[in-house]
Amino acid sequence: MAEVSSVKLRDFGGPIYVGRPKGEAARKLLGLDSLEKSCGRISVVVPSDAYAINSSFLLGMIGPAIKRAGNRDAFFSLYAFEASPEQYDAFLTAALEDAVSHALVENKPLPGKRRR
Amino acid sequence: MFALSAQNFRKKQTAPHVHVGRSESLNLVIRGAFGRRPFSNRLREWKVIVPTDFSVIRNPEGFIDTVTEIACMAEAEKAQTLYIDHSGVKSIDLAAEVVLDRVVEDLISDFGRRHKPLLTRGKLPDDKNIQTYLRAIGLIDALKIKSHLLSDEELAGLKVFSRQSKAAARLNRIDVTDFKEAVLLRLVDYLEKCLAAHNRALNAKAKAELIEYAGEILGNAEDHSGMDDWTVVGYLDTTNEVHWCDLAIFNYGTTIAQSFEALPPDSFARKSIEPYVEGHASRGVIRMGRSRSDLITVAALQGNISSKNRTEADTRGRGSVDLIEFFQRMVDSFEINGGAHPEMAILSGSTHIYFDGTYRMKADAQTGRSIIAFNAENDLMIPPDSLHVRDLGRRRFNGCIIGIRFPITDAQLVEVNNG
Repeated sequence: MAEVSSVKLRDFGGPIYVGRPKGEAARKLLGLDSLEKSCGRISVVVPSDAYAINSSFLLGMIGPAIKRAGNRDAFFSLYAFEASPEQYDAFLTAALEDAVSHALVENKPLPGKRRR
Repeated sequence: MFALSAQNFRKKQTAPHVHVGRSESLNLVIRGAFGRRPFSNRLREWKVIVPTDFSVIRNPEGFIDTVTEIACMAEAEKAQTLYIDHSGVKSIDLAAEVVLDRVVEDLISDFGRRHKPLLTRGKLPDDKNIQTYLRAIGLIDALKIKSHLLSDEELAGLKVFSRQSKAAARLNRIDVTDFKEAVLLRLVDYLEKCLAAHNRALNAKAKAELIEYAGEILGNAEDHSGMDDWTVVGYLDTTNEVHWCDLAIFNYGTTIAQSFEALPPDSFARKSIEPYVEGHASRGVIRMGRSRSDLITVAALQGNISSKNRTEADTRGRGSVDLIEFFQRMVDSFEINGGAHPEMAILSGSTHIYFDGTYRMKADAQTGRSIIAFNAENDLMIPPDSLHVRDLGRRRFNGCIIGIRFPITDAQLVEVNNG
């Protein structure tokens, strides 16, 4: 059975989590790069007093995982977020949706004229 | 002596003077007056008349002219008295006034650094509401006009939130709330205190959205400006049925366009925007009064576009999307009945972008990228509307200001019992 690993956001301050640098630092300190390769599932525990997480923080923390997964289902089969229904409703659903849809967009140039 | 603004300057093609030892922020504002130098260094009183509509959102030209005029007093050898005349002001926004406030503070510091005397005087606006607003924001304090300071009772009724970044406050540990987060928490705390007086509070969703929005802007200011010098100011007016919230976030330093222009032409981030910029440049958009900087700034607002993206695998470029989508939610939640309506503006360098709900950010059907092209078709192949994306010519603000005015409606509030 694939290993399930749990990471706690409380280790990184709170009750709000904003900014890419903090997300990236959390990713590095938690060793998420290697956890994602070795674990079948990673559970992110959102503290009960958390009331805001912005998409930049999430993109810093899990952006590479979303890209590597390549689609929504594959990402959410690897990552689960433990939070209350109220937290999901207030901020988590929207922040996750924004982060996932953003990271899955192909990073191509804006349309226009190309230089010859 | 009544010195009109035009008499303080004469147009001359001179490079802006950079005074060693002067604060970088003051130097940056002075550089925004490039090409215009004080008419006479013999003036002892430096009189600045604030325009009728003093607003970053609606009158960026008047705003830039006013703050650069104040800053240029630092260059006038004989000037000893700063006189700021607000008497004709009929409308004002928080972003304009707090930047003015900051410029005055920097000027006072500069005179102090040079051991030069500086007297400050001013005339308040005739409009009582604006007078109260100015008193709350702090210009009166900055000018040390003691006779106009509010009484303790009056001060208790006025609430303005203001925080400035401090390099010394950077924390190396990430297991504690960093300064930016601490500021955001205090911003929410400020709004809650304002609302508590009316037995209301932000609901969970509104609180989270506000933090997410403000957090994205502060994050951009920290990441892209090149200087650790941002300020966030908020003001909630609870005197009317609709509670209008003004937020202003500004930073000195690199403009949005400069953050791209500084990159090598073959960098991933530059190549991401170049087809858009070159496409319109080659169609003569720049000859028609638009600048490359305007086009770069518009490009920078698009989803997944960031000067810090190095490869296709990078996921930056979400911040501006969150900012604009927050504003759109405010527009959607408020019925415009011919009166005040939500507004937002971004002023960076010589580019001014105005948001009033006319154009919306939407996901492109083919690519999924969030796009706001500032035209009716929302098509990036069509130039942006010149009324909403404006080139200010020789006027510029060296940094970035975001001003937003939005209502906090019942949908965002819950009742609380403070009894």
